[in-house]
Amino acid sequence: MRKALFSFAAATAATLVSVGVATTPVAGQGGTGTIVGHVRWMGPTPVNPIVRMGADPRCGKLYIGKRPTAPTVVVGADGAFANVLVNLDGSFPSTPVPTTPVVLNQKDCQYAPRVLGARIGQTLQVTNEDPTDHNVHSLSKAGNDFNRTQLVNGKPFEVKLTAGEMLRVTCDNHSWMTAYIAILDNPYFSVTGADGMFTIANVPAGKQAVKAWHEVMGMQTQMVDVQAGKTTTVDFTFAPGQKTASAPIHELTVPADGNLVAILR
Amino acid sequence: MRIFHWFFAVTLAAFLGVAVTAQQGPGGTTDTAAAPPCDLPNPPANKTVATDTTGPTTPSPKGYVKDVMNYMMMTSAAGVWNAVATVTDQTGVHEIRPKNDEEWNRVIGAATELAEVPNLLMIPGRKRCVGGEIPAAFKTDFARKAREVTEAANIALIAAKKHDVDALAEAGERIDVACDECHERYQLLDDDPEENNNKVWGTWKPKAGSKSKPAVPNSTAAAAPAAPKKG
Repeated sequence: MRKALFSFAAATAATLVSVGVATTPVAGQGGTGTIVGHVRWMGPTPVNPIVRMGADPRCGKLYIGKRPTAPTVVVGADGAFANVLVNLDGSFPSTPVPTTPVVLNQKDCQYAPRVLGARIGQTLQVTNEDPTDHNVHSLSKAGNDFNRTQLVNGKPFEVKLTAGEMLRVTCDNHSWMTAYIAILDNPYFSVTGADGMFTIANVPAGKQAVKAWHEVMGMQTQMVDVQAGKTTTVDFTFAPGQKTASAPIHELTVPADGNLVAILR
Repeated sequence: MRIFHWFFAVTLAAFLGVAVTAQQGPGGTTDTAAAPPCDLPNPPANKTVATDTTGPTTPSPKGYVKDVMNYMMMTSAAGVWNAVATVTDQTGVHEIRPKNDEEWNRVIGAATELAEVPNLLMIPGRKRCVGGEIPAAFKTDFARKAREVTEAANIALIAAKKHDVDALAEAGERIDVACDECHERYQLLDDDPEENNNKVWGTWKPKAGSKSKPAVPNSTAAAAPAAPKKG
């Protein structure tokens, strides 16, 4: 009996060790490279809908003399397109999930950032810098459910993101507030800032499918050939009227020599 | 041997407990929806069917001001505001306008509701979630502000009936200003003396030590309607 119990304990320990091994980083077999790029808006100057915040005077006071608009299509100088999630599509060796949380802030009665990436298993920390109460409500289709009231000067709260999806978060108190959290199973993602730039580091060498997603403009995919120790550039252009839905990778033509590239039509 | 059994069972239970707790995460058991701001205001249902001789003969409010705001005022105002807008989507930048009679009729419906809802706010007995009923000394001022919403909405209504996009957009701005004017004086924020300074408190009282003051009736009753600040 004792032998049986020892065997069970040993088997359990072995299982735990193997789980640990599975989640430790695996060095890229062919080395790694970096993908950098720029996402550009090409088209007429976008106009976003007016947000009327008068229902909450604390929000209204933040915009006295201004006419706030929803930050859905944010374009900077030279067409720099912000809030575009760029990530790699495919299967990758598992890498450790960061122990630091991703932070979703509430500031000026908007979410900041509007779009962010996170890992499955990572913690989301929600903070409130506003002089008003918020309600943080996830519209999950995969099990990342939360619906929390967060008071003025309230402590940040944390939620573990347990399943991969593009999670939309809204505020029940302020219907104009929306954020998107891409919960991914790999670390290869980036979100463009006001300059439209993105960087994805430590990408396994080889052909990679790079996806760019915007909440209004949809998704584009390009193939790149990442070379170990080198930086590969891939740019995206979003234009109204352009078809942006993702297409299967096998429909893309990848130049034999090249870094890239085919924009879907 | 028996001791070993117990030791093993306790260890296993502790391990599973830790694992389950970790799965739930810090927010796993404490999620709550937004708390309702007030107790239900509704009086008990009157089971007697209203006839010529029974039932109420005067207007009888059934919801708080906040309920009227959230479920009637905001939805109808959105119906007016959203009828004329500029948006960007996958196909370009678009001017949103009512395109046919059906869409114009929807705007007419929203504007009609928006013009009438302020009348509901003035029914005697209508309470605010925070602060209770508008005090008698402020009712004239409150009625003036409510009426301004009605008048602005009426302009939207007329514009919608004429299918006049520009006038509808202009009315939308006046509605926005009218809403803000009223909120600045009558919308109390719970437990916030600073925010409620110079507002009409009614039954609301700040915490001891607050330097905030309630609005003074005479100054508001005599004040001329505020000029629109926007638009």
